[in-house]
Amino acid sequence: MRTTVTQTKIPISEATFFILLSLSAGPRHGYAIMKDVATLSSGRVHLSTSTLYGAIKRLQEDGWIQRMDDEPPDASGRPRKEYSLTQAGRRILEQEAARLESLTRLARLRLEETSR
Amino acid sequence: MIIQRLPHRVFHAFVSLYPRNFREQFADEMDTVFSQAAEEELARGPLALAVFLLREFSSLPANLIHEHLAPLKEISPGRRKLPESRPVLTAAWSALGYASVFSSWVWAGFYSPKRASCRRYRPWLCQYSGP
Repeated sequence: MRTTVTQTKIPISEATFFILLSLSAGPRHGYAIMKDVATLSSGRVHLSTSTLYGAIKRLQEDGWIQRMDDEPPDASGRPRKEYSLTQAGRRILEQEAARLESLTRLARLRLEETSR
Repeated sequence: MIIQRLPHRVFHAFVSLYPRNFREQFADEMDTVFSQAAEEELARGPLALAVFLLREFSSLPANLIHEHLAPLKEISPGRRKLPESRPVLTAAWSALGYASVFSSWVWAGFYSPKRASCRRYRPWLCQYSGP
């Protein structure tokens, strides 16, 4: 049986999942991704700066996210770059969400069966 | 003031140890994000800042090593070529090699105080008093 490239990349790590999920709402810069991941995970997942940028580098290399064209610095003059989800990244995110959904459904079915 | 500056300097020093390719792409952004996050945590209180710094500096060395080793782990040939990682790896391997050779000499008794070779190569270390 042949497997596509995207199929072999799944399952993805929780940090990667939250980063992709954060970018699914629109382009964001690094700090916004970091904050959004903490919010999405209800404070459970806190990405450190080095973890975030290590993941961003790999996701860029895999073609799942892309860096937007040069953004102007913020009000304090700090450089900031925004990242956005690519079509391949969105496809991976959808596949992972479907995988998690099917696992959850299966677990619920089994739990209902055993609780009767 | 030193509470604000010192962590940033240490963080910047760590970031400067990343492979050149990585630094060129992300070093400025990482500094910016670290500063923003540190300022926000400081505003929340010293305990929040301490937790933040602990999280940052506990993951930094592992991620740093991971970035240096990433080219070696790459399976698909010709995809990643990061020659800038080689000097660090070469230095690490050399240090390991020298350490193992030195320790084997010691264990083999090369520097044993009672051997003539000791007197010949490291006279200040041995107690040999023969001819």
